[in-house]
Amino acid sequence: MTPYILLKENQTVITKQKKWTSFYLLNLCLLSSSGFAAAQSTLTDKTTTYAKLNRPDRTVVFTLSVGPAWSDAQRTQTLLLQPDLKKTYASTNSSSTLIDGEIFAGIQKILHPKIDGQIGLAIAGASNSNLSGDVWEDGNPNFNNYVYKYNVNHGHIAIKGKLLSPFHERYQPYVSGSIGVGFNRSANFSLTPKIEEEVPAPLFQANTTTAFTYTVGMGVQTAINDRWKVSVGYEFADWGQSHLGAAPGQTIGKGPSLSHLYTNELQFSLSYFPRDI
Amino acid sequence: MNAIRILLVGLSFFPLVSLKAAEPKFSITPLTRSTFLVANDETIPVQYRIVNNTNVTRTLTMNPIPGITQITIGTNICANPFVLSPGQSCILSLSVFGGAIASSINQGPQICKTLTNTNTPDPFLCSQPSRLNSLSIQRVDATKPFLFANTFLLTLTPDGLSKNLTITNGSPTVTALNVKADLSGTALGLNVTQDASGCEKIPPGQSCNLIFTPNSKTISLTEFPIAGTNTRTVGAAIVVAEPENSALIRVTGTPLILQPNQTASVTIQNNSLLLSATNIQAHDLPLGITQDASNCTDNPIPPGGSCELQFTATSYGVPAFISLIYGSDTSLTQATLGVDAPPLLNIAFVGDSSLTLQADGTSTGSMTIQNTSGELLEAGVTAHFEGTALSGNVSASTCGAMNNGDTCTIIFTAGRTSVQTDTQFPIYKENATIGLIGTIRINPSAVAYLSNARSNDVYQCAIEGGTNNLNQCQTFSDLGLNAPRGVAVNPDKTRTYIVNNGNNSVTHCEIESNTHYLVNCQNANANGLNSPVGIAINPTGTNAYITNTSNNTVSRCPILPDGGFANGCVDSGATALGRPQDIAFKADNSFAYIANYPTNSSGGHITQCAVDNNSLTSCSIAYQGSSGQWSGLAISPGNNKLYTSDFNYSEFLTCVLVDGGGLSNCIGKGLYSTTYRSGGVAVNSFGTVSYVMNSEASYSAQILLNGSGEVQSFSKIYTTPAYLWGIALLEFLG
Repeated sequence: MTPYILLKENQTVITKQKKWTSFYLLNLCLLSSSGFAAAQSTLTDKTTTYAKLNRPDRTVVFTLSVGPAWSDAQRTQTLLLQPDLKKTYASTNSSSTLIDGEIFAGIQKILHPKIDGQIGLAIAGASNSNLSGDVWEDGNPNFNNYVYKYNVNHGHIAIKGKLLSPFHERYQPYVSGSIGVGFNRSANFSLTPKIEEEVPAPLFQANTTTAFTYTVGMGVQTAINDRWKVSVGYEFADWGQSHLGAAPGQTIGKGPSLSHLYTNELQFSLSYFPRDI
Repeated sequence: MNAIRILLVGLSFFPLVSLKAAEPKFSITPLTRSTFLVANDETIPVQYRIVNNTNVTRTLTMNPIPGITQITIGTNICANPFVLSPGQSCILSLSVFGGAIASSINQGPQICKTLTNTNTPDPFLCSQPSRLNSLSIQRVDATKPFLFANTFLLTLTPDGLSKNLTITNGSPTVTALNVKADLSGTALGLNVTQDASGCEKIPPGQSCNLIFTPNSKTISLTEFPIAGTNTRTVGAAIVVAEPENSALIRVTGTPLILQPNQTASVTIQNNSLLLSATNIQAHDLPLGITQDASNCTDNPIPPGGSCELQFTATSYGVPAFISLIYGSDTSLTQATLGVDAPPLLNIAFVGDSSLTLQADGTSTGSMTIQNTSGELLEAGVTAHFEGTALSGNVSASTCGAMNNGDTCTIIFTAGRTSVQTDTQFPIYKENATIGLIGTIRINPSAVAYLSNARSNDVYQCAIEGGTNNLNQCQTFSDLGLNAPRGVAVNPDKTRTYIVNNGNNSVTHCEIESNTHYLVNCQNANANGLNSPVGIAINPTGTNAYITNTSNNTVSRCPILPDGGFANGCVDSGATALGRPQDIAFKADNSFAYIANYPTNSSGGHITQCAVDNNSLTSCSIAYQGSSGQWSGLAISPGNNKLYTSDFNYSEFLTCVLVDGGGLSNCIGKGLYSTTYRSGGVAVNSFGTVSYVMNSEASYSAQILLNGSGEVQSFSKIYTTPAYLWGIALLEFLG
């Protein structure tokens, strides 16, 4: 079945005949690597008539995204801090709400009569994700004597791609994905004794970890006018690994670590298309 | 998916984590005061108990505090550093020198593990006392006067008289100024008036009175500080209460209805403002509830304090009842207690509750029990002998189910071991009935009466059914005996006769029917005796026959109904005697046989005399031994045998009693080391066991006889009494 769009007045019809195979494949790779199956189709040289919704063949795009995110990082770990001293850090509350923001700069290209593609560079950052739990002295749960807290914040730079389907006159669904380098800063470790008799140990130091990071997302975009478009969507991110630095006097290893820190973001985006190229 | 997985993991962790409680790794508990002022020229000792609560043996040390030094000498005093294994403790002994500490210390001592092989505290593993127990030390100027109060507690009566608290200025040089109690913020502040006008200036070493006047309000013990503007503080307390004669106690937790076997407590509160309460207990507890009052009796309960009386139910029910609770100096209160289960039912004896059985393995007796509970009683009422001497020696039948008013007869069957004292035992059904106490005595199936010519005593020993040993011997002294030898029991089993070789007399005693002890012993009025040794009562019980060794005769003494020999004794007519020793009659009263001790080395003989109208006639030598010096002699009615024993050579001679008179087939058997200097000989009615007394040692011979009355085996038996000569058996053959 051939999809089609009803033409309105002052809308024009364009003919699409070029291949953007490499652009498309890069997007496809990004998305499939994030676990999303892209629609399997092949671009061929054929002429199809579509409505033109200010759909330039190639254009620059800048997108500012922001939104609330919810993080999860659950892990209980026993650390040997000295040859004769171990402690267990039992996570009790790993979920926190934070603000995520991203600036994206790239180009958008018609990949297929039914698909537009974007590729570019994304720079993102997030506010603190708070982690807390119990400290078991000697790794013994009978000595559950302290509450620990610390936070992790995150920034990353990534190659990001987005596929939009402009088949609807007003709303264009999209999927997106990125891979990049993340910078996770674990900091502000604190210990609070649960009973007066206990004396807090020296605190773990702040530490920034460079990690592999990726995102995948989906949503829907709508146009305000030819230059401005807004979208709302969901984006899942894995910030990758992070850990606190060793405490003063600690002779073995480092502070508590996370191999992943996942966030789920409700993402609001404003895109600007300054000019066609 | 990730979010769900993390959520599930989080939920699974929640209960695990929430169950764990915080506990100090190292408990640090003060043994002395930890809050005080210290003058800068003063040193104050402080001690804490340190306990290692962890599962790891740790080398520990105190985080140093300037001005505080650790003392490491003494019993169980912590070293520096010190090693504590899990659960182990030691005493951290500190010395606080006011001149070296900071102006105040408000924490610690912190106890930390050490860095490996050092005495440096490792901040990664430290504990400290609770805030209340932490060091709280203020350094003060040494010139500030100390104040002393003449008492800590001042007891006032509502609307009562004023009372004084005498304050003394301890400084030798400084005048204390404006000394008064600070009652603000307490109930005392509003209700007790203070007159401190006498204490505005207290010269060095002088005293003054703070005067306190109460109003009508009752106030529990309240502490307050007393200080002057330039002094240290001293503490005191006031209580305002009516005079009490006894501590007013109240109980909570009542009614307390226990489940079977449950243990629970009521709480006793001492509501007295002034008096301690001691030795509080519940009284008159019924069967079925036991009390552990130690919590209330071990120490006095102070005013306002409380303790717990712990009650434990047995498995049966106890209807709710009111128990009085009081101490030796308290008011009276009460608690309702009970056990929620079926109650114990009543049973009662019908008829006698005591029995005497014989240890013959077959003796039986009974007691009758009636169900008086008003309810059906399930089967199972029986006697319980556990823990009594009867255990294993008597068996009892078990009652079946009984309706109200029904009776049940419990049959008791004795074993073969005697229990010669009245022994009590309970009869009940476990957890169903109130127990009755019955009494059983098991007399031996036979006893032996033995004489000791050295000590002038006579003994009664039980012959135990299983072993035939002589046990549980009773001694009868002071019977006026004189070198007693032969012993005999009359056929009616009512009297025992004892020959006194030393004074030519015979003593006779009644045999008490229950215990078989010898009672009412008296001289039998025998005359004409001449160094008598042996005695026999003829089978009809009418005459006693006594051998006289010095004139080779046998005296015959007719027996009166009272057992004595009222008409004296006559010569029985026996001849053919040579230092006659023991004598015995055939059961049919046809012949008497007399053992003779040889007058020369040719050996003794056995004399046989026919019994004719109680006289001994036609006497002849029935057996002439080659070497025997025959002493004891006994006849077994069971197997028609005569047994005699040799004094010098311990030969045991067995002869067949020929019908119509005469002895045949006499066979001697050496008893070797089992006896020595043979005295009397006895044989039981069944002809299964014989005894040969040993007059020179603490053992005698027991000889087991086979079915033909021949010696089967012999063994040495020890008897508590020694040097025995006479023996007579008293048997109860059912």
